[in-house]
Formats: sequence, C-alpha cells, structure tokens
Amino acid sequence: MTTTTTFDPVSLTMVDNYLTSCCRDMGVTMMTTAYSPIFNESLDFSCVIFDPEGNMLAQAEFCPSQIGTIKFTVAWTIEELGLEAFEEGDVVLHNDPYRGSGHVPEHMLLKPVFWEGRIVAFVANVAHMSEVGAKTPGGLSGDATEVYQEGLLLPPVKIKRRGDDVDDVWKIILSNHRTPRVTLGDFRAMMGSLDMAERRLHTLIGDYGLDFFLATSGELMAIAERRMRAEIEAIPDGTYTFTDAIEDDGITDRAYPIELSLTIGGGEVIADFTGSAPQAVGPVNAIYAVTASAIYNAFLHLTDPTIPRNEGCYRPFTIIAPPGTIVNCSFPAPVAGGNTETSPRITDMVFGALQDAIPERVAASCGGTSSPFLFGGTDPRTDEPYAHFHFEGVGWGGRRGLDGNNMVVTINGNCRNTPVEVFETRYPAFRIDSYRLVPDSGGPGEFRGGLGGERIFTVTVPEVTVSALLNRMKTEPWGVLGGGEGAVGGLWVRRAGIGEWRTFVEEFGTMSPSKFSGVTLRTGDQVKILMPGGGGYGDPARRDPAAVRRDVEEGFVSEEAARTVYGSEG
Amino acid sequence: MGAWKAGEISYLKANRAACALCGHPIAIRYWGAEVEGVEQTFCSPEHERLYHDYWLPRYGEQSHGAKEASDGP
Repeated sequence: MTTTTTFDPVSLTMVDNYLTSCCRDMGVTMMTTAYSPIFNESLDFSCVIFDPEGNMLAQAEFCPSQIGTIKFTVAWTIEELGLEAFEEGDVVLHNDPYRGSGHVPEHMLLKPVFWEGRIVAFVANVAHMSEVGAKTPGGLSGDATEVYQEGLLLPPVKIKRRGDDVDDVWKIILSNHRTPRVTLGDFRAMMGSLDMAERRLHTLIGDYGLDFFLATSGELMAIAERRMRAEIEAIPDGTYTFTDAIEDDGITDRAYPIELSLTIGGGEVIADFTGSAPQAVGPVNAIYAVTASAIYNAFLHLTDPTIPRNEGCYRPFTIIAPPGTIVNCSFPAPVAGGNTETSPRITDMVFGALQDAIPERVAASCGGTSSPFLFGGTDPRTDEPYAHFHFEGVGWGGRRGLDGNNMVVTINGNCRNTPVEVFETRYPAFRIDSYRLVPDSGGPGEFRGGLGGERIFTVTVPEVTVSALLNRMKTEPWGVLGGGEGAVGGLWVRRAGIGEWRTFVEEFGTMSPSKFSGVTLRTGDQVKILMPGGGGYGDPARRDPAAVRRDVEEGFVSEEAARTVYGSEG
Repeated sequence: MGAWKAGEISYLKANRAACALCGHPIAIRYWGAEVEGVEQTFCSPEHERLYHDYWLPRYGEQSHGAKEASDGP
C-alpha cells in the first residue's frame, strides 16, 4: 500500500521562507561580527542549510560562485568523514579545492544539527578569508604555479569537537596565516552564524515537529526541480555553442580558449566543455565545482527567481568538464583565479550561447573580472600585520529593456567593493585620490553596456606589498544581438617623483600587466586601476534618442560618441 | 550492469578518480560499470546512461580530457 502526503501551500511557503531567512540571518551575523572588510563590506560568503545526505535545503542570495562549491564541499565532507563521525557540537573546516572547495581562500564550516540524538540537518557557511598563508599577503597570487603557493590547504578537519575547540588544529592555522588575530575573529563570526542557524532549526522543529520539517523540506526540493525543468522546457530544444577565452595566466602570454556546448531538451541541460584549453600554468584554472557553479549561476539569472533555491534547482543540469582542462584542472594546478575570473566568463558564455534562443532574457558580457587587487604589510600605527582583498566593480552587459549596471562587482560574486572611507581608515597603506565612472566605456547598444570605472590611489606608508589578478585588460567584453563591445580595463603604476604612468610589465618586469604578486610599492607611488565596461545589447542605431541625450548630459557618453556611434544630432 | 562501489580516501596519492562522463572528482562512492570490456567510474547510473546516449555518439571511444583540448591561439 502506498500513501500520499498532501502539502498545503501555506506550510510549504512558510518553511521555505523560514529556511531562507535563516540563511540570510547567518550572513548578517557574519557581516556584523567578523573582523575583515571582505566579510563586513564585500559580503564574500554564502550560507546554506543541508539535509543529512548533503542535499541543499536553502541558501541565501550572497555569492553565486559559491553555490556550487559549497554543495560539492559539503557532499565531499560528509562522504569522507561519514555521518557516524559527527557528534553534537562538532564543527568541520575544509578549504581544499581538490576535495570540492572553490579555491584556497574559501573556507567552509559545517555543523551537524541534532534532534533527539540523530542528525536531522547540517548548517554550513563558506567565506573568503582575507589572509591564508599564501606566497604573498591575501592569497590570490597572480603568478602562482602550484596550489601549494596559494595558501594553507585544509582537508575536512574538526576545529570543534563536542563544542570544544580542537587546539592542535587552531595552532596550525593561526601559525600559517599572516594575520592570526583577524583570521580567528572571522572564524568566530562564521561559527556564531552556525550556532544561530542551529538554534533557528531547533525552534522550527520544536514548534512543528521533525516529521513536518523533513517532509516539507523534501517536497520543496521536488517543487524546485519541477519548476526548474519547466523553465528549461520553455527554452527551444537544441544545441547552442559559444567560445571565449581567458587572455593570459600570469605566467605565459597566451590565451586559454573555453568551448561551451549547451544541449537543451526534455527539461534538462547538458553543459559540455569538451575542446576547452588544457589547464593553465598560472592561477586561472577552475576546478569542477567552480565550473558547475558558474553554469548554475547563469541559469538562475535566466529563470524564475521565485523558484526555491535548493537542491532541486540543480538536478536538471549535467556539466561535462574534461579533467586536465582550464575548466576542471588536475592537482596540483593553481586555482585562485578560477573562482574570480574564469567563473564569470563561463556564466557570460551561457548568455552568449542562448542569445538567439531567448533574446528577451540574456545580457551581453559583463566586465568579467572580480578585479582582485591585494595588498598587505605591517601597520605602522600598531605594528600588526594586515592583508586585504579589494574588489572593484565592472560594467554589466545591457539586456532587453535596460542598460547594464555601472560598476557593480562581476556576475559571479554579488559582492561589494570596499568603500573609500573603510579602505582609508582600516588600512594605512593608501589614500584614494579619485574614483569615477569612465565615459564611453559601456558597449554601444539599443541598451547600453554599464560603465567601467577608474580608481587612483597613493601609497602612504614606507612599504606595501601588492598583487593582482585581473582580466579583460586585452580582450573586450562582447555585445549581443548587434550590440558593441565594452572598453577593456588596465592597471598602471606611477613611481613617486616620476611623471608618467607605466604598466607593471614596464616598471617591474612582470609577465602579465594584470596578474602578478609580491610587488613592493613605496611612499608616494600611485596605482591606477581601470575597470572594464559591459557589452551592449542590440543595434545602437535603435537606441532611443532621448536616452542618448540623457547619457551625454550625465557624462556617460561623450558628445563625439553620441554623434559617431549613435548618430545623435545633439 | 553496473553497481555502487566504494573506493578509499588516500592522503598518500595525488591522483584522484573522476567520473568518466562529467569529470567530477570521486570522493569514495562511485558507480562502476563495464564499457566495451573496461570498467569505468561514474558519479551515478544516470551518468553511465548519458555516457552511452550522449558521449559515445558524439565523441566515439576517444578518452576525453586534455587530449580533446585545443592548444589555443
């Protein structure tokens, strides 16, 4: 005999909202209690609830590139340790990219939630730590050639056992990070967030019962899967292809093409990267979880945003990423930029592939770089080491009905840049001289690409070590459906007392103009970062003349471009 | 006919098994199935099915991975 359980929509909606708001509150806890601006300001983390089998029950809308990585990291952790290894009060830490994590700076914490002696859920968060003991401060060394140079690798290990710190593991971590006090503060924020989520789940289960929680969360995954399949069925069946490239890897001056073939049919998607370039020498490689995450991210942009964000969303997707390639590199290739640079490229490629199939939903390429600019040294005010990962925004691609966003952190991150005031007060290294949008950097189109920006800052301490890992410095963000390309970015330095801006290649002999590590700057040196614009959507000749006039008035488009590109009569 | 099997986590070996279809690294549990007389490792029975229905018709019996990659410009 079979039984059928009927779920009422109100209960399902209540549980979905409860779990999602719990994940959001986890993030707020981290934002407000962590020590680093990459938590407080940039929000470079994600917060998720899983069932005991590692199925994602809910997530909050923080960092999309971590959607896939936390799913794979948690699954690996549960499988490697085994459910029987978890005790009440345990917290497991894991950041090893070759065991499912995204890249070394992203640390995942996982805590089992017990009810009446059995595990009924896991709460987890993943966050980008601002210092990880890599070859240069802040990690993301733009010229790393092995994952060992990218920071301390931690396979799944308990940092709390039955509620008590595992001191031996903490000693290893804190003795390997340059900023141990900040590392500890950020980890405590993550653990506080898990404790809060555990209490919330206990409240839900206490109020409604365990059977209700398990049944409704299972049904929510089934609903999400049905709705995602229906969305995919609305896309015309077929195979859609697109090619793009990562322009260099920091070590060799060559491009790494990425080939994507999307096969859509029967409510399923096969994203096949066969034919993509072999893995890079430098740190632009994505591991499997990052590539999968980028595909998920693209389809979450293209489909109904009210679908519950749980495991069911991801079941219709198969991602084929050949091992040994730039989209699924093999150990011990460096991977730092896979998550910050290759991930947004892949997400954009899905839009490029589908531009003719669903023109009403896609966007042109965004600026496509997280613009990581990292620095560290010793604070002369306190004699304490510091390290910081600074994001910049980029222009986003135009889409039907709307111009692209100006200077928003790229599509894989959903992060924020470091405000000028925070930048200057938290770190003694720099004074911000200017920060502005760049006219004509948005790709022309019926719907214009968003503008890139420019930041100039001056070194105010005797010495600071800087590193970078930026893209779209050589190849323009592409437009779609007749739209034009956005402007490329750039990175320059002007030494104290010298009048001209020079590239880091010219001044320091780095291989790449935008991917390097460990460059020492001194008092009075200046840095200029130019962030790429977004591609345009549709033929610029179709742009509303009033919109062109408004762009000129606001300084987004020059009078000359208005005349020559858009045919404006003024 | 395939079957679920269990490998081992080793901290002494650098090379890790990956799904013959999708390339996803295998932690412990995998679906082992014989293809053309050779046992292949898959994430799941579903990926074995796709190997036959999607992979082989497109790429034949070539092994996939870096061998398939272009050298770039």
